[in-house]
Amino acid sequence: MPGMSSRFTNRRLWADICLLGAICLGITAVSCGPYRPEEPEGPTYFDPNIPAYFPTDARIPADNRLSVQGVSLGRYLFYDGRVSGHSDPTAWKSCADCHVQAHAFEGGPDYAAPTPHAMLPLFNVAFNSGRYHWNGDTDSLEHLIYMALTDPNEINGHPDSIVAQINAIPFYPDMFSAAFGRPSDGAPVVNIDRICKAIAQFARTMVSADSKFDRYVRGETALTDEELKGYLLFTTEEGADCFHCHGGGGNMLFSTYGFANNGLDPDSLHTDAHDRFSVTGNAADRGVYRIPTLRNIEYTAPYMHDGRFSTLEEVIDQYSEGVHYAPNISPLMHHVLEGGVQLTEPEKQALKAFLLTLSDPDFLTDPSLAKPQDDRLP
Amino acid sequence: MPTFLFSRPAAHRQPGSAGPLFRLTAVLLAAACLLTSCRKKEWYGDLELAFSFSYNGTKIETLDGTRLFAMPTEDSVPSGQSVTIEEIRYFISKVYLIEENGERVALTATDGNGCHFVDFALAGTRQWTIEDVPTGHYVGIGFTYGLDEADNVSHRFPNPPESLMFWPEALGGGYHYMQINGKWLSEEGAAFMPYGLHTGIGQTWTDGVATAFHQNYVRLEFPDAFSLFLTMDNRRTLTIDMDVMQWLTNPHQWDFAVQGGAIMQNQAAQQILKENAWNVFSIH
Repeated sequence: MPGMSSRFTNRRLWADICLLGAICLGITAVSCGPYRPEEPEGPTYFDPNIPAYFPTDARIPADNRLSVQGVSLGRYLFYDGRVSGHSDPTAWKSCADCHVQAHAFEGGPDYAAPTPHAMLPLFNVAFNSGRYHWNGDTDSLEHLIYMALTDPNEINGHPDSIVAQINAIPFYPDMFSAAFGRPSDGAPVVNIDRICKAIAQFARTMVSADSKFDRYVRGETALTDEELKGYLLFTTEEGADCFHCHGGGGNMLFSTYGFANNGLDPDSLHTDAHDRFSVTGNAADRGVYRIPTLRNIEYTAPYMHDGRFSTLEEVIDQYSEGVHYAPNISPLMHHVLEGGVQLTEPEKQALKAFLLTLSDPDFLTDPSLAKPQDDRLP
Repeated sequence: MPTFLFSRPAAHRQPGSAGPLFRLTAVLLAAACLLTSCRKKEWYGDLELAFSFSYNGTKIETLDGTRLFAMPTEDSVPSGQSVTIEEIRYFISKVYLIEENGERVALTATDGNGCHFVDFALAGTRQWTIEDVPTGHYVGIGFTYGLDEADNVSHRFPNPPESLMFWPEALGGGYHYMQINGKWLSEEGAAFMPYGLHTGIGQTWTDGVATAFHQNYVRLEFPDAFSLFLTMDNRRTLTIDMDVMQWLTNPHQWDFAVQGGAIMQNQAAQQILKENAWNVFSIH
């Protein structure tokens, strides 16, 4: 039956064409995804620059990736006293009023911090694998910023006032839209969560990684004999025994970001209401504080959680001869029985010489971290 | 591109025979089936290594999940020195299984580096899943306690917690094999003093300069330690237990009063722990 054969052949042809069409549609669907209407341009995300020998896992929350717009917004907010939410200009207070770039974003030796503890350096926070503050009461940089904005001892703002104040400044809403987009539910583009996120983004770009010691490790310069002697002391148990807590060539952050009782005071004086014990309730955490980085230590006096020392010499003397025993002293304080590591004067000088190789002067003047040159900022 | 799909002229096709589009479709479908069936090979299973800790046979527990404190004084070492343990961390590497016929099967970690860091305080490190282990009947296991020359390279681990184990360049570089930190008591009524059983590359010192370095890792083997049948797509678990007291007693008795609290620059002390390592681990 030629007719049937022809119909059969045609039917097969149509079946083949339909099948081919279905396959093409399938390939198109897989390769192109569902059709979406054109969306407005979003934030320009970027990954943080990882300096040589730094951790490759920067601590960036999934819901607050760095973006060009977010960092820029955070930089404005960091330097804008109106983020305090106060209407009276004399009451304005910005992050930068205390965190001064010239002092590695600390307050400087003559600044009396109004907080229970001395300030901690605000750099390389993107690589902090532990908790924040001397007592580790938060593990979120965004939350730390919220605490700073609202703490009566710090910026002392109210979230509603802060948002209202920032929202009323003409250029900010557009910056928030660019950094975070517009909420799909029609909520205001400025909120306290976004303010904290933006400042956190900017803070995470404060990376200090170009000290003389960095250049030494990268093979770009040499250390002097005295600096090398100090480094040897720094990294040996029979020397100054600093490295277990404060790092070295294998831990370029110069802190473990852990917690320790470093023998600063005898046990009877562990009465600070804001130590690690105040957070954990564990008696073994009395007189225990976070281990700070020693990077830029030259610029970050005063030292210790209560700022009791104003010079590096005092700090070195403390660890050399002033260590006190406590039942919960860090097990890494191997020389507590002798009252410290018992350095000679030349050894102390060498240790200080090494510590000064951790200074990164260019960080103090990095223009990308400075106050924006914009007349709209007070 | 296979030529048979398109080379045959249409005029030569027999009515009812498969056309090129049909063949194309068939090949695509076959390829799709092949791709979707590309799963793990069937002759592999997974091995989970669990890491536990004990002291003189008693399992070590923590009060808050992060710290070990105040071992009972009756657990004192034979020298009469009581100890507390606050932190335990170590590296294990170069793991292999031993088949019934004695053949050794090297295992490769999923991250490709074959080393694993164990920290008592970090629950996630107390388990190590090694995927794609050949199926078979295994009766033993071997591993390196610490890191050998090939694995112990400075800056190999850029991120914490491993990076925090770095061993200073002046002392040989690389990483601590182990850190056990705690306190010891010489006599009742005295204060507990800090100690650190920190092992790694040892040194010979001459006039304050390290003139030679010594590898102190130990390759341990446990033949005929168990009978484990690993079948395809199956997961079996082995537990590696560290009895901390064995570091201090067997075969060499440790004396904190002699060794002091810090031993990174004391090769004689490193050697004692190296020789005691054989009796520290057990497999369950």
